[in-house]
Amino acid sequence: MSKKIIVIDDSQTIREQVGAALRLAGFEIIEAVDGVDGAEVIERTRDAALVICDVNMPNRSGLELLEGLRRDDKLKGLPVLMLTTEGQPQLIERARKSGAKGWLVKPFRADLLLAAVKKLTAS
Amino acid sequence: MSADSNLTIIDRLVVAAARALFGAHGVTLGEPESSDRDTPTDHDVAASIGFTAPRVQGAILMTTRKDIVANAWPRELRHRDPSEREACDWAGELVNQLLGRVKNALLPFGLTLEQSTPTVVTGRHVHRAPASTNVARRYFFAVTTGSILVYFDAVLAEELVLSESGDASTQSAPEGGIELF
Repeated sequence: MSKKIIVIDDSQTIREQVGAALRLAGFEIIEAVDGVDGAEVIERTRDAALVICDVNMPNRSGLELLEGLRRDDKLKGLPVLMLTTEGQPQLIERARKSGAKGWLVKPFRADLLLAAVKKLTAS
Repeated sequence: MSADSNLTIIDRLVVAAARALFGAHGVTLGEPESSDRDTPTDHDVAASIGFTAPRVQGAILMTTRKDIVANAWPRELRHRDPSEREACDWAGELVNQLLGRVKNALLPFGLTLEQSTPTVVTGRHVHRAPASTNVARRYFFAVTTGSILVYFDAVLAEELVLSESGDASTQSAPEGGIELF
């Protein structure tokens, strides 16, 4: 069965770009458009293997979403990869301390993204 | 150090960011041309994103044609042309990524910008009205089939002097780079 990846980004193009890169490798993609929608999709999708999440989004940022996940006993083990234009060391450290598994600065290369996703979903 | 040196730094960072960004998406930008060149009449899309920091407020605006935006469409999706809505979404993402690069390049200068989400407008002959900010920079880039204009408009506090720190902790993570924890 395909592993499910939840892609949260307010850009439809980025969601489709990530989806195109990962579907070819056999992953199932579920999309969400911002941090609020992302939290709802994660709640509904209990067997997700990974979340790929933007940082700067309307309604709720990716870091706020991440921190919310870590306070939820049922979801705190779900791996999260941040995909963002942000390169600020303080934000990367905040994500790391909040349990994110990685940080990728846009624009991304599909092969690097795929390698990271395979590694993070290997277990 | 002066306002002029701030402008020199801003010009260098914005131009480098724009050229690197579009280059990464397969569109080559040359050096920016004379800033007093007439506003192109064929631009039909404008994407803007705001930013703020304690002594800085402003926005980056990009205008161009939708078919030029489509030329920068991600290669993973190039098996089809983007719809009008997708081209607009991508224009917004491009200006978001442009500001991201500028933000990251400003970190060593002690400036940490917070940003808005992008806004995209389409129409005919789109052009920016005269800016009232104390920094209003315009960069005209010719591309094979037309042009891209980037505006950097900001209010900078008079006492703000951009000065690069050698502190490695202020360096941004590289664009395209991935760090696994």
